[in-house]
Amino acid sequence: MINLGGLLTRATDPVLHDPGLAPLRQAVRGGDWPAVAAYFAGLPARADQGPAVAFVAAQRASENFLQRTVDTERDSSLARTLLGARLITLAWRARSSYGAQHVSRAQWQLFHERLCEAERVLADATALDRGNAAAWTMRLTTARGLNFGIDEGRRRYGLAAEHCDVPYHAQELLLQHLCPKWDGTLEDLHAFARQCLADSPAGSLSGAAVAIAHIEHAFHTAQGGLYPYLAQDRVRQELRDAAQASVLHPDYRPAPGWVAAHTAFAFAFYQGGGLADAAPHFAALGRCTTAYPWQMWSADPVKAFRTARRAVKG
Amino acid sequence: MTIHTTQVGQIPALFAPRTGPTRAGLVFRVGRADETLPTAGITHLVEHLALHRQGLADYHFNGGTGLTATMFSMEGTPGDVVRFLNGVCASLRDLPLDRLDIERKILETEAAGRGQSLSEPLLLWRHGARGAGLAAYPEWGVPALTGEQLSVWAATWFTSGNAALWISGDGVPEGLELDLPDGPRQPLPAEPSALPVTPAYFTGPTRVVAMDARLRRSTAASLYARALDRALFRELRQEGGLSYTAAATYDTGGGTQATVTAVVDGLPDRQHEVIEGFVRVVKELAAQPVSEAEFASLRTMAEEVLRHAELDAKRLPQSAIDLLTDAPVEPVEALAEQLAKVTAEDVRDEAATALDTALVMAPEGHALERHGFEQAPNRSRFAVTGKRHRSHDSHRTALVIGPDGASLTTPNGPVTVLYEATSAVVAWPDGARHLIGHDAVSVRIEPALYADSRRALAAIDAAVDPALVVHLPARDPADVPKRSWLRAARTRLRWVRQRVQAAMHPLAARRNGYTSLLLTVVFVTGLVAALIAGVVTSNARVGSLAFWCALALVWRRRNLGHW
Repeated sequence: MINLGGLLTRATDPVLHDPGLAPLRQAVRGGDWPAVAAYFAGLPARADQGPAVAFVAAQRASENFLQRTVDTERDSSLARTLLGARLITLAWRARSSYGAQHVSRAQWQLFHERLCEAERVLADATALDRGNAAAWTMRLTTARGLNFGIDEGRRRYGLAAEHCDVPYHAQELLLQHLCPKWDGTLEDLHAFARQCLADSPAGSLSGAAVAIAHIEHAFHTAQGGLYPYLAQDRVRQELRDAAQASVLHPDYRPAPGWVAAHTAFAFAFYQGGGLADAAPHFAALGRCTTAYPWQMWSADPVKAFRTARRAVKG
Repeated sequence: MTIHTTQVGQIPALFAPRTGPTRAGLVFRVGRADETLPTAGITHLVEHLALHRQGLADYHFNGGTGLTATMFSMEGTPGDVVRFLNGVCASLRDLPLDRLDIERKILETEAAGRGQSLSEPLLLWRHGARGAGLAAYPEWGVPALTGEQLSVWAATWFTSGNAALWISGDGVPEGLELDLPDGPRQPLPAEPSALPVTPAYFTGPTRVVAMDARLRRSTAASLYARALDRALFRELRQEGGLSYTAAATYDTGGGTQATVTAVVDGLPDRQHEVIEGFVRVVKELAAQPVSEAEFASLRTMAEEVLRHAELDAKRLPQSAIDLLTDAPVEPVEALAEQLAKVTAEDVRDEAATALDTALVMAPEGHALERHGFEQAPNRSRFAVTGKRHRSHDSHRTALVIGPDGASLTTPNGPVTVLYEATSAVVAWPDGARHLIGHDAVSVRIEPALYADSRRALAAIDAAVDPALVVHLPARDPADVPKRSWLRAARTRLRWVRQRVQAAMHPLAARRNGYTSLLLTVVFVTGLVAALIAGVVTSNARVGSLAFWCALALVWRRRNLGHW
């Protein structure tokens, strides 16, 4: 029988990646706070809550429900984390996905206003519970957007990592901050990515940080496309080693954020011409993918992913 | 050299020999931090009344109300000192309440002439509208306090058990009676905190950068204050040329806690550099110990102070406060011994604690998040839920009156005062109310600015404890906001526009949102029309059109993530 739900879902829909998120989506849409709180309480201790928080933040109009919840759940750190994350999404939407030089003045103002509000709400969340890794993770984004500098970004990452075993979502965000397009340098970017891989247990998602670093490096130096950088033997070997130590390791088990990790490797190998290396990642992904990094390559990320997948399958 | 401990009547006394006239002081463990916002100034008023009868003689005396201690002091012949102190005690037993109205006026005049001190905003942001934070507020109790309230206050706090005496001179003069009512020693007030997290910062209309940090009292902590003082002066004034004032001090109000306060100033166009330099100095001291040479100079400076000829006589007022707050009154030799034991690493430890507990005041427009300081909250974490009153002034602001408090919801976040956490409600005869919460967050309600404000004000008046209300005299009519129909209409119009925009937002925000909607409508209409037409005409080709329309809808849903 045809799975009509699956047929209608977008390849980038997080529920497709992790069907466990479906009840969370239902709870947010239905404005059912006890169910939302129960979902998060049910996640393992010290697990990376970042993807689930980002998922709630992507739900349309959830800010109304979350704002009401913040007023009634006066000491809830979680409610503030979710509202802050939603405000960050709204801020970035105001800024749109164009580069900074294309953003109009009014857009900047709205971006800044919403980000300040997010920072305030998230500061409440971390004041209520200093061990709230998800809130510190979200504060990485506000630190980047509000130009608080890389030192503050690293401090917030440290606080997130202190209370989370594999803070992959926080690593993705700090990697963005370490890119030359924000406050960092290529050396910082690669050093941090290698550190993530070295510090994480075998089979965790953190190895994908190396892939993201190379992808960002390739985009930074992309005069003749991404291929010249990503096709280098040294780069491809490092990617292979990172993949073997993380998502291709025998101990690997899919964790929230697994699609993003595989997608990063798949993109990096594919753009570097390593179709054989890319194949296991595309196989693991099936029809799932994330918009990043395809969106930096093409206006229609899902279409770009499909084209790549077909090319790899041969 | 030593401080002798003795007893005068029931009151513990400290004596140190000194050449010249006799000096003495009677200290009580009561100050502004023991008051409440509606009775603020009550200690000061009692102090003034107690001094009144001594006011005509021709000698040097003084009274002072601090945060945690009140002192009556005097310099003169032993006979003058005895007469003064006995007189103060007699007045405290039986306050000259006939002078009350005149002293009220004097205090109001004194307040009008007094500028704001630098430490007041720091106290306000650290403690809120309670405890030491009250120092930042006007003495709102002064106009309305009754004679009975003052007598009760005096009988509670100005007692023999809650007093200490210090004397320096030839000896303890004869004839001191110090006849005070009996009463227990009062502990130091709790230190309420309005800061959820430190280190924190706030911005204010100021040209200076100031910091205060809370440390445990110790020789190492006082050496840290010296180290900070020298480092700020060297870096910001001598080398940077950025500041004229660059200094740090060490104070204690008794007990086991001490405060290190640092201040640097700077020209408006160089404030950024001043802040950067200031934070760099504070962080460097916390990160690594000062150099050996620097530490040696710090210690030498501290030793010089301990070698001062009449040090004990100078230490007496602070020692009396220590005696009242259960802090040890140590001989100079013990202090010298402690000083010899302190290492540069100890000072660094204190610097790290100071950075951890720091509260920084920065000029407007300067954020310190980049240095790891959190913004001190000037908003509340939540708004109450209840009856909403639209603002006539701004379409993004509303007043909310709930069963447990009042909130203003603004574009920058909510401000909320809960009735159970209210420090005072300021009331004007024109109906305006100003609610001040324990955390110093406040909600001001101008009757002319909110819809149905009479109901809101009635709800507030019914909910708050009448003892918390501070009645202020009528305002200048020019200062009272008036309702403008034009403005109210404009605000309403903006509100409607905002609502419409919000409703249209999902389409407007999406790229090709309207085209997308149009296409979906076309396909849905096509599907329905083809289905009906197919059934009616029994034509399979028309029916298959419905299939293609359905397929197009599924394909679009799959690609766009929405219908």
